[in-house]
Amino acid sequence: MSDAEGQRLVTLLADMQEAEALELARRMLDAGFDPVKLLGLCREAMAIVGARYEAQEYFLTELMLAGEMLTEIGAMAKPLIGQARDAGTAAAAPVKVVIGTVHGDLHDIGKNIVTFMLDINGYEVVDLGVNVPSKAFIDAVREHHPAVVGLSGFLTLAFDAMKDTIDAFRTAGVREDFRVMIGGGQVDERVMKFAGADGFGQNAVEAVSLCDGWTGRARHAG
Amino acid sequence: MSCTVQIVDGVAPEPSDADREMFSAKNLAEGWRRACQVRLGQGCTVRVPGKSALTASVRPTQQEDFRIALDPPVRTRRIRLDGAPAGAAAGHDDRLLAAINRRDPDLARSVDPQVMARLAGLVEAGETALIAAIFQGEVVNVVPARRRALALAIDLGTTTIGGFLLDLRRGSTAALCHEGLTNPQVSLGGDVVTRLNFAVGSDENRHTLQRLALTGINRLAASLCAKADAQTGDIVEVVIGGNTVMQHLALGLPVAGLARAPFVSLVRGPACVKARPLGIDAAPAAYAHFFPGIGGFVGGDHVAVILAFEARQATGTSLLVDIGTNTEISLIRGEQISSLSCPSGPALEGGEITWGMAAASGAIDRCTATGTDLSCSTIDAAPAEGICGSGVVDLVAALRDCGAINFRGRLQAGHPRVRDIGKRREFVLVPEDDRDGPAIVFTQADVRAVQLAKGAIRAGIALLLARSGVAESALDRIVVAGAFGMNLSLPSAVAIGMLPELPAARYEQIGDAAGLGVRLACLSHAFRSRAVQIARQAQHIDMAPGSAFHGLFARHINLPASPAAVTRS
Repeated sequence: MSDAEGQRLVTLLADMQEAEALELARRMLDAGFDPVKLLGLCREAMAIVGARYEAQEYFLTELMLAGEMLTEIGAMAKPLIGQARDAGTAAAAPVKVVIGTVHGDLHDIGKNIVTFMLDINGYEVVDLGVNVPSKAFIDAVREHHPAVVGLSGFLTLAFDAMKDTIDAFRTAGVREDFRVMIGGGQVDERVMKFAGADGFGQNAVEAVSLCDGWTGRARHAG
Repeated sequence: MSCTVQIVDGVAPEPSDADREMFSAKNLAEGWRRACQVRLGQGCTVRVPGKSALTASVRPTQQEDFRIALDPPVRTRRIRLDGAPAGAAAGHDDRLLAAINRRDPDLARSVDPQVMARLAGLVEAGETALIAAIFQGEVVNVVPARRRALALAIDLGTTTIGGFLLDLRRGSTAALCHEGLTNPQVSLGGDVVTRLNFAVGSDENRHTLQRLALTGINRLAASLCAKADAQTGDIVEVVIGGNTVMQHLALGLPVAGLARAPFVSLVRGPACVKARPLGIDAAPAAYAHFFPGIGGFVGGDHVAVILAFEARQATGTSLLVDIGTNTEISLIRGEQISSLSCPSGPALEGGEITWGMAAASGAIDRCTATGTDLSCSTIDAAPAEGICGSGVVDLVAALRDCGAINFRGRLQAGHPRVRDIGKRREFVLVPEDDRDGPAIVFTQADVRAVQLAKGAIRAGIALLLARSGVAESALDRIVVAGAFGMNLSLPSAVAIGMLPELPAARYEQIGDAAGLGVRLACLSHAFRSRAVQIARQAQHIDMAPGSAFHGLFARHINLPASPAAVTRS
């Protein structure tokens, strides 16, 4: 029974049936369905959404809606996980990525897609938002110890801000603690060298590949 | 494809991968290539299809002209310089001022020395019947009485520069003649962002952009004066309304502040400088007057649009939408004005669309769904060469109507005119067999570009209304301004969700309002003062983080789930 319900939840989420999906998730949790398993089903659904986005079937709206549904279900399920098993079988700690749009730039749609794609591929993403000062990046890497830092920017002047931020990492003595990837509308190898980053990506899929390569993780089937 | 060319004579180079992706084997054999992919090694003849050439003339848009009280900021006086000089104790300038002030004491208080140099020549030639032009107490020109005092009104657009020549002694907004030309800056980038990026690269780049803008203005000045049988030296004032970036570039000002958040302009207020030293051909002492802006990217051109709108004396609550690469939107309730600018991109003007082109002969400008198929018409009923902005909006509405795209904008593989070429999915508008050249198509990426553009405009409208606490249904009218807005099919714009679904009677298309606005500021001191007041009082809605713009944008990227209930024209 629950297997069939689980499959139905995956389908509803992947097909953007927001109201029905949220209602079903609530019903399953109320009936005692394992919240950890439920979140696993969400990841399964999000992987389908990611694949449909890559195939151009889905567009920005669907990614954003998927993100919202995921957040809502997470809010329902996570409190129950604590009750179910206190400090039980902790899985290997997820790899962390700190991401943000550099100072002077407010564009965040591309960054949000990267965050979403990293998230459904099993990374723990700390998103600092837009117009992020160098100091906020430094504070975040000191707190979270990420394996990768993602700097996003769409404006050409953001390239200066990327360089500025990476220079600040160096001055603060943390530059060697993680890899830095940059992304945005118009980055290329030249910009990567100018800014002093380790890699660049033209889209969210490339961002996931970069992180997978650096952290030695196999790419999830997507 | 905007860079499609055919090598008709001589050896065509090997096609690149990008060429192979774009053209069929037959097209490649016929010599079709993308100009951006070709390096010519030896002599050959290249045919550039009409749409690619920069020859597309700008179609004149509807002008609404009316008589207004003659009250120009530059005053003119017919004078007679007779009698003998009063001796060495008085200069010729005193004599000129006395002649001007004979009936209007204190009208003129000073004379630009350049005017005296010109006057010397006139006196020598025995010209005594003159027209003097005076701006704020300063004499800025004298010409023989048989000539005229002219003003040049410029609508400095990112894509097009419009010019209007006005006779300051006639109380009508009708220009003696008008003309539009492609902004020469387009050679350095089609949109404001590209040009900003170029300008911040170096001082030299910035000055290049300034020179190109002024070249465009001077070309218009020369051409208009020739048409009106006048000389550029008869132009006693130049009034320029452009978007924030265009005005900064024309003034030669640094634009770094506009290239990054929070997008602060260096000069927001009106700017008044001597035209000649700036590099504009006009009378030696004439001023160039730049419109004040509202803030951020809501610049002088939009103030000009509001001015033209106000001249219509509308009452109630109006939404004014000026669609372009940046779309400016204002909510107007009597004296209360709030405005914002949203980045709608060039797609709605046919830019960055695979087969996009200017609204010139051969452009697909209308599309209608008929059952599961659709039909198109072109400007001048010429063979199709591409698709223009108004055609793009019509097409997306028709694609939805005929079931070729779903409400998410995805092209449907099952539709008879949708095909997959490698990873590219596209709708075939004109098959290869029906024309001399590659098939004209509308790709999935083109649909997405339109979705982003219309999503941004609708989100801008939603944000502006939400901030002002006004419901869509409470709008008495929606006024669509601009040359593109004039040709836009409103039912299609509503059908794709770009504009709110309201009764058709509440919609109005007013054409080139910016052009009318700059003319009003030439002819009327009252209107020019009002422009300053608008710029000062209008509330600029910032789209900084937390403005909810992105959330609204995401909500409006999809097409309305059910086709809007608006009668199709």
